[in-house]
Amino acid sequence: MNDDRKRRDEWRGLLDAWTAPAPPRGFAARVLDACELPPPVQLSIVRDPPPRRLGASGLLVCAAIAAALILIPFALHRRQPPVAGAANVVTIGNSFDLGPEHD
Amino acid sequence: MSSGTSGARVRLPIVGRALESARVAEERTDLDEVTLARARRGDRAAFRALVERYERPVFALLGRMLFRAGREALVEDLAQETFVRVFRGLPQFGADGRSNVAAWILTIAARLAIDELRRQQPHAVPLDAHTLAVAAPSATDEPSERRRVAAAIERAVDGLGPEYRAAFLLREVHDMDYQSIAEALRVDVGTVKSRLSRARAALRRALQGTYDER
Repeated sequence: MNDDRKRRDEWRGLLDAWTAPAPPRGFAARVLDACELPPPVQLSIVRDPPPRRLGASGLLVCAAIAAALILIPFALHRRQPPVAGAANVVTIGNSFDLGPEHD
Repeated sequence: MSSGTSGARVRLPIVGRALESARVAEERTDLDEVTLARARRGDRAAFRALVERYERPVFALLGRMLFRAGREALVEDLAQETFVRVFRGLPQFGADGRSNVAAWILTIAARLAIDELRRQQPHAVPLDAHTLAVAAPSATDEPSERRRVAAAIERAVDGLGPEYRAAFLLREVHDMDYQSIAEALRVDVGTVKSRLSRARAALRRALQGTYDER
């Protein structure tokens, strides 16, 4: 690998004639500033909610009242206990007295 | 490893002196484990130390990848982006088996530079189709000779596609091993060796042309 080393030294010597730019003064400080920048702020457009239309809200109220008028009685009715005992029940199967038979 | 497909090596009078500075740069130690661990936990001073340790090689790589005049601001932007990505990725560093911070940082920088070059030159001319013409030397003083060598290298490197350029610089300047370069460029080791060989051959031709005409 001695030849390899010698060749590299030779190239390095040649390339040394080719001057490279040096970092400017304060470069490290600028890098640190760039690294510590806060993350970009997420911008979003916030709009005021549109004004409510009276017609739509009135319709909603009416629908709610109607639903209540239907549903509340129905619910109350379902919660009532059975009204009748066995004695109060009229059975259709009873025979009726039709009076004496006539020829 | 083959040293390329071209003939004799290029010998330059400036090489001996230039090697000294290259070795000085090489002797700089890696960031110590304690500082690295603190940087991973988000310690500001430790991360600053990390940036100051690796900013020079990052600028050197990006500057040579994007060497055309007027790109200084672009180099700085990409260097900053490199370190921002390092900062974000640092807490997870090592989870994928990586342990070489320098190679990781240079990988990020190289990928950014390749992406930038691809954006600018979507249809790079293949390496073999290039005629690497270099200016004939006229003066003999050392500074102008260095400039001439630099100009010759720039012309030669300008003919290399972004991946060839990155492979060459990562290997010859930043001393990365083949495996790390392969991972950086997302290719296999054989492709890295092939690209290096072709890049070296092109540069040799360019530089040899400069000195043959003396």
